[in-house]
Amino acid sequence: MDAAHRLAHAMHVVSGVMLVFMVAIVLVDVATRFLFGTTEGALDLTFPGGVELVSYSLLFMVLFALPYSVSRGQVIVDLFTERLSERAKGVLAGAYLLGFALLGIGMAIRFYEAIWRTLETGETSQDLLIPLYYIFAIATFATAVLGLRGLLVAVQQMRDGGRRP
Amino acid sequence: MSAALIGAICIAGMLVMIALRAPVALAMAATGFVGFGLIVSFDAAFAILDAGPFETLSNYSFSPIPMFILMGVLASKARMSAELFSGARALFGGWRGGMALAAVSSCGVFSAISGSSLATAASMARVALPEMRKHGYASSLATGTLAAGGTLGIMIPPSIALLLYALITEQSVGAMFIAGILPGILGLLLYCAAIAVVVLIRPGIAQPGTPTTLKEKVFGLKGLVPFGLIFAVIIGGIYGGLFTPSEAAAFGAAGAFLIAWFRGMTWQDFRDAIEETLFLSAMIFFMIIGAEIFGYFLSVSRISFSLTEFVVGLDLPAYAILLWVLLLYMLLGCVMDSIAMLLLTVPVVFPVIAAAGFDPVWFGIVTVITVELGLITPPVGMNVFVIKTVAPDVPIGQIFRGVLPFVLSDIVRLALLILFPGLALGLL
Repeated sequence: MDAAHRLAHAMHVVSGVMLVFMVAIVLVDVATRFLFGTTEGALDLTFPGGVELVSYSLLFMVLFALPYSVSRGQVIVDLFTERLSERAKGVLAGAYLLGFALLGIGMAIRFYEAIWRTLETGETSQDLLIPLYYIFAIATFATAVLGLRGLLVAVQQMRDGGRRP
Repeated sequence: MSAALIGAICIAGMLVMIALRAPVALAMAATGFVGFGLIVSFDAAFAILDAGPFETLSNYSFSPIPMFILMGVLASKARMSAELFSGARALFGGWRGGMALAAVSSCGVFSAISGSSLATAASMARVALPEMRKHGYASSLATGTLAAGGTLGIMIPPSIALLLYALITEQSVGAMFIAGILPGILGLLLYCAAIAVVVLIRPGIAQPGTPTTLKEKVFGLKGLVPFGLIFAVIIGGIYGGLFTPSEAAAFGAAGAFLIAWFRGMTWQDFRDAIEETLFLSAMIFFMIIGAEIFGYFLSVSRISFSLTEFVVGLDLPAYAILLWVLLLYMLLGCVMDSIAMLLLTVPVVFPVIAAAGFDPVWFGIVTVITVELGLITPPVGMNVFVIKTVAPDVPIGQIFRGVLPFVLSDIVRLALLILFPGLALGLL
């Protein structure tokens, strides 16, 4: 449990780095384009694949943030169940966390299959020609951790009732 | 069993799940998966678990969401709200109720760099609420003003809700933001009018402030400069065609970072800001993943199509359809979070509205105003609960009574927008 929590937290930190990286890439992309334009092409520091870098940064930022965030900050409607006991609410929360665990495991299996599919076809990203199986491998890891953490937190929620893990 | 019937049963099941405390994201994903599986096949349903999330999460168009959130969170960490409120106080000087006017105006300005109503309400309440109460303002007016003022954050661009609406309905994000400017300002003016009327009827609930000189008023405006700069870069950049929304969001976040840094933001503040951004982003993207899977199911069930056919077959006047839709939003707003409500309902309702001949950008503005009403109406009223955390001694019923004049002014704004669509579309 602790190891999964630490792993999810480490991924959360990586997610934060991806967020800062995404902002930085957009700023550098615009700045180099501006320099290129104002010097009429004399100073060309532009680089290909800015949009792709931002897109994959967003993908990893979100996927790496999910395992740590799965048990908190979910939008729920508690109007009809506010009178339930804390124990019952905890059990329900645990059951729904199992749903997130299944979602994570399902996504991980599909991404894992996509690794082999793209390995066979040799598919790459459009601009930077990154082999897509790298991208799917990282996505598989992140969603597998989401599944694992969802499962562990669900078990703990159902065991401990209303106490937030 | 027809696809539409399976669709209707699955949607009913989803509503039951939501009523039983299921996270909205999970309810949408589970309904989408099961519904798609029943209509097409479970092998095909399994296939959308990678295609849907992968395409959405690696879609460049969604990248402004975390960056706009980061901008708003950094603005909160920069503690700019105190200077803003003090400047606005100087502007309204000795007017009776001037501090409430200053609070709601500050919320409007803060909204220009914060896309979130909750962040706006929380940031301004921490600064303005203690001052208003210290100066003898009735708790209902003070708390109601700030809870309602916070809702301006969802309309005045940049707004996460407008951004999501644009992405769901494939409208231009820039057009949505521009269309939100006048309704946002109108909302601010109507809130000020509501305060003036309330104070006129019950002068005892607000005290006159200390009169200020013209020099003090002008000097007070300097608190607006950082907000004006960031707003100008974002909206001017998008409007002028210089930036895409993602670029504008990155510049906004960088601008907010610089301001926060110059104002003494610590490393710990920065880490907190990143962490808060990640939690909020994860919450929204969980729902976006759920909505994506749900969207596949909606397509194959043809439920939107059937609903549109049904409504068109009723031969109702277009405005009657609109009023029913807005009524539905008002009711849902009483129990559901605004972003969740948009992601859940817009894909279903939008084709009906489009078939009725309404402008999609205008409908987005009207929808977001209606959705924002849910932030201050009982029993959920998220903004009211945010204010309650800042003023735990004020009974929740008193805060809801305090927001009533603002709810009425929002209804007036909605009516004006329906009567004069140019209020939203005029700047486009």
